[in-house]
Amino acid sequence: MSAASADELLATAPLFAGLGSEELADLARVAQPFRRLAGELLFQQGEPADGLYVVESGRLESVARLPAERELSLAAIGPGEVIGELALLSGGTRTATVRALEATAGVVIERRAFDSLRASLRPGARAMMRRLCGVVCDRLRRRYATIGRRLGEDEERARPPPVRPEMDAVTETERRYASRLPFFSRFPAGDVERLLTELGRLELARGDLLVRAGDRPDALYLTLRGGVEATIERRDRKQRVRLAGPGTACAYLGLIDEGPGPVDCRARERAVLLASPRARVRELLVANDPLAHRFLDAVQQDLVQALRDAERRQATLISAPLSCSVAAADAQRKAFAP
Amino acid sequence: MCRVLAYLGRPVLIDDLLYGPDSSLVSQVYDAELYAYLNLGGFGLAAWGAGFAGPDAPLHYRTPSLPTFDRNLRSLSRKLTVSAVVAHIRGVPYDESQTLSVHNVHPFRFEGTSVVLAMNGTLSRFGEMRYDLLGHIRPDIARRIEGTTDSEWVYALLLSQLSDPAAPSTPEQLERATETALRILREVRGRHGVNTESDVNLVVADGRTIIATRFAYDYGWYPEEETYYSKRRRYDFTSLWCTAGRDYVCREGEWVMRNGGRLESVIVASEPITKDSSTWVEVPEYAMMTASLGDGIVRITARELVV
Repeated sequence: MSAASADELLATAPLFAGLGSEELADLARVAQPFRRLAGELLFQQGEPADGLYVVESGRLESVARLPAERELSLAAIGPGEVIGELALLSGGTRTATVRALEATAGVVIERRAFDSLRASLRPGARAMMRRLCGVVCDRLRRRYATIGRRLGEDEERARPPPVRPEMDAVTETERRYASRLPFFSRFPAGDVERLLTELGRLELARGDLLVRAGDRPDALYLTLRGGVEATIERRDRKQRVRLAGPGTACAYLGLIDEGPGPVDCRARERAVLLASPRARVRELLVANDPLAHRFLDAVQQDLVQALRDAERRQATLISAPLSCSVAAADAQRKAFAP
Repeated sequence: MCRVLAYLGRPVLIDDLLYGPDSSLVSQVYDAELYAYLNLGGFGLAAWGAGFAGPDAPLHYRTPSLPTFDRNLRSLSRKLTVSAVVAHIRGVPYDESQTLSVHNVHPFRFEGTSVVLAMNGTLSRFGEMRYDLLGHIRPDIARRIEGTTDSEWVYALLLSQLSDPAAPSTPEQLERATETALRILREVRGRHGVNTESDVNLVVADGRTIIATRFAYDYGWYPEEETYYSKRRRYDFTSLWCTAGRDYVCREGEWVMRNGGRLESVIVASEPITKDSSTWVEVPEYAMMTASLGDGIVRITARELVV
């Protein structure tokens, strides 16, 4: 595939729709063609994640392994779709195996090539990062929806409105502690200080509901101490999809994609959180300065981890009853079938 | 933080769990995947096998030396086939305050009971809480404590919650004893104002049942002055993983649980014993998992722990 045709393919893929010609040219320069015959693997679960694939033609299936030689079918992928996007956002290892169901072709953007594009601050790289962020949001919402369906089609359990604790200022001790958290690891000290000055501080008691699924989130919350669980609830079942401990954020999905919050966020332990209000988060996500870039990177890293957490929870849920998806009060049990 | 493994099911060579896979328990002494430190505090195992004399009482092997260099252990592992095992490598902080002794090596087992316990975790400020626990531990059990670890006290506390520690227990009795012990520990922590994170991943077993907890008090509350967590730990809740199937075999170079249509074997471990973790699932946080063996079938249940 020539650079020009890679350009055309990228332009027609929804992921890249609306990108400028300079941005598309940046990406097309690092895109390489790939082909697979029916039955061949694109990549395998557990391998280093080395690139993002854009499918031009053909069909693929994404599956994850489970205990006792079982597989969980995750998604079908067709023309115009992308797969393996986490490779560009965070690296790590593949969380699923992707195999071609029929002869498939397209382009791959390798992580190393993309990293150099990003390091040189090319506009295509930044635009791509924002688009990928949207892709991960979409995948995460779909994953939560799948988990929700598995819990049952019942209505969501009625919950009281979330608590609205008073915000106060971050203490000096907390500032020093916060600056060591992984969320801020890529920020220079000055930027951390600036951000921490802007953030509000709130305390939650164990069990306090912070954000209710379906509501419009009003802030990004970052756990400073304690743990906040994200759960999907049905009438008599509850599944934890993430436990956000120190340095982990929650309730921000709707701030990125403007949708409603997909999960309940509740203090599993008493907790101290930092809060960045909706308007400021929106501003940081679209601004084009070094602080905003680092903020976007930190949110993306957290988002990728949230997706990986949800994938692991789904695997566990399939292997019920390891899921503990039954409400504690009910203490029901189900047999684990191979 | 220690590393622990428990197996229940079809007869398996101990070597297949301790040495065979590419991230086997013994290799986790120096190369754990989910833990950055060396585990230098010793090794122990309790094992039950059909051919053992006195089948309720496990083979109990403990040494403060490293299993990596233990020829006797390797030799035994290549010969012994078991239906249940709890194995543990002890991780200790690198400082002179630690006591390396056979009395501190897990799993713990007092003479006269078939119940053993291994723990992955640490109770913060345990020294302040220790003697408050005596009110909840039967005197005849308290007298048997020989070592200096919090884990042995947790074992004594848990045994004391059984109506008859010397008699065989049902899975439900072991669950209730575990839950009650955790509740007592929370009360005693509260009395002493202990409010920093303490991980209590327990493995309790008697040859027919494994109870495993993935649990922490005050998760995410680290000591103010402590930099250990923020620099070297990734804020993950202390891990616990599981795989289950017909039997654990090496197939075309890969160690897997085979699918035989029935659930006949289970492994619970602080981390997968293969570098490729794709055939393992994570036990949820705040969970108690129970695996029990009957008529050749392993029954697994799990539920949220609220104590």
